[in-house]
Amino acid sequence: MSATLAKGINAFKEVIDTPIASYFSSCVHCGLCAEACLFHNETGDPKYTPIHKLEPLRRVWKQEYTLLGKLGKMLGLSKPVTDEELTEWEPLVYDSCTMCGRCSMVCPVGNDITYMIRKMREGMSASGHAPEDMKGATKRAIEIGSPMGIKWPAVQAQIKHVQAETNIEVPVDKMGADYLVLMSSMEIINFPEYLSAISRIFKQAGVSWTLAPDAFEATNSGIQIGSSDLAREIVSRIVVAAERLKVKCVISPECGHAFTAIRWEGPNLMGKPFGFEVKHILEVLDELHAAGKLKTKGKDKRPLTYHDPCQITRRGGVVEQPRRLLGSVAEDFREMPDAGVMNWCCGGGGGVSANSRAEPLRLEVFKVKKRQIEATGVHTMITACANCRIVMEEGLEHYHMKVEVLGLTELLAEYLVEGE
Amino acid sequence: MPSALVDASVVAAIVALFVLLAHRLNNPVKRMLSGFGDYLAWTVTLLPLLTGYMAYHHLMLEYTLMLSLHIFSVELLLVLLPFTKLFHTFSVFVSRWYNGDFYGRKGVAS
Ligand code: SF4
Ligand code: SF4
Repeated sequence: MSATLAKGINAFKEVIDTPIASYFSSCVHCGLCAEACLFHNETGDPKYTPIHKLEPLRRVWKQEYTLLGKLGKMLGLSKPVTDEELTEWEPLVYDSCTMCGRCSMVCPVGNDITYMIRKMREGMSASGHAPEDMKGATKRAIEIGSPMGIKWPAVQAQIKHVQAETNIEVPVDKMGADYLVLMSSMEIINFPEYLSAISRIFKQAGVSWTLAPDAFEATNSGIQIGSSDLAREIVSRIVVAAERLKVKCVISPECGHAFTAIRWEGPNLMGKPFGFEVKHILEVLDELHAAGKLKTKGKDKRPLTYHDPCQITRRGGVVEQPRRLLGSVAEDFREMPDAGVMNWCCGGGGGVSANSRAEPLRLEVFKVKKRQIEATGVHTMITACANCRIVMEEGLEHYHMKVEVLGLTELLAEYLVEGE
Repeated sequence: MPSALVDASVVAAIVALFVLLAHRLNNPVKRMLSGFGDYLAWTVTLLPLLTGYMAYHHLMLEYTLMLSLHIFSVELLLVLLPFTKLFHTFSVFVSRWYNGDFYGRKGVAS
């Protein structure tokens, strides 16, 4: 499928639905969204104002769907959106937006600007104006099955390793299991601790679960690059596997956008409600904890803080669960300023971490996270997204900060009461 | 209403409008986002206040001329109101309902 300007403009026209039209016409040009955005906040550059990132889409809306705009277009008074303009906007729409959702929280007229950016990316990718790295990642996700090019044998190798280490069998393709566990490429490559922690916790809690060779990858590059067709194809793999294995619930891993992709966009992409539930791993762990099935012993003496991944907290609604879980194993838990639904993004969401061109900017805006961590004075930070974790590890290294980052699931496994 | 009170609120409103304009022009983000519509809305809001104040205090022009200018500016405001952002005065209620319904279904913060 070749990308052209005409296709891009068509995609723009298609994504302008009632909410987007009403958002554009409601905007009062107050500029408050700028202050919510880490890219504007850390650089002070007005071009990073969230609503400004949508300017080409706004013009298409105006020219195609408003009376005055149509009139202006007829009289040749308005300038059409060009390829050059989209090239100029590409870094604004991709490199300087992590789809963190913070701007949507502050807009006084209630515009979900993040949703608009997600939709604008449809036209950007259709017109060929997506970052090369993201095109590559999406291609690998479609052709190989994972954005980082990981295949099932890599997961099998990890399963073997986990089984040798824990002496617990990792179930694969188990019909009728309650839970289908997904992972993110990041976890498969960088954090094998996750699978081992899950195996131990679920064994102890007596949970019936399984992995599926045809649906182990939870991430969805189609959502990040803005291609609903590809996003649908990626989601449908999970749906097919979940239906084939007749599981009751699919567990989204410690990954932010994967949760958004499956839990929130998934049914809309498929055009029907799922026949199974989708939960984030923290929700499942919290339920087990509340039911007394996840028993822990002892408390971590280190001062700890928690980084709320945007897609899990702000856009995912999982706010209290990690705090309850941490409360059971942390002796000295400290919230950072703005924690919870107004937490600042790590700087690498929405595909930014997969886009090498964006790296200098990403490291610059990490300053806000640096300040947040410094305000707590801790040297150990817990989170629940493997992408946040990698991005923050890089940022911490860049600023020579001695802070360790851990996943919440593996922290819980450390204090798990086993073999009772 | 006592006319002193009306008078004072008019002055306050005029001052506030100028402060807002200065803010719009000085803040780089706001200046970038602002277009013709924003300045038009500002102008048609200011004019009735200004001409009304001037007519009442017999400033500049003859009273009847100023009064007619005042009435004209109010008409201008009413005519333009539906076509500018000023319509939010009314649409805010519909929009709260619309957005509330939309977000309520989503069930999460943003
Ligand atoms: S979603 Fe986040 S990164 Fe994107 S424009 Fe809004 S505040 Fe900025
Ligand atoms: S905060 Fe909302 S109303 Fe204000 S400029 Fe941004 S999008 Fe427009």
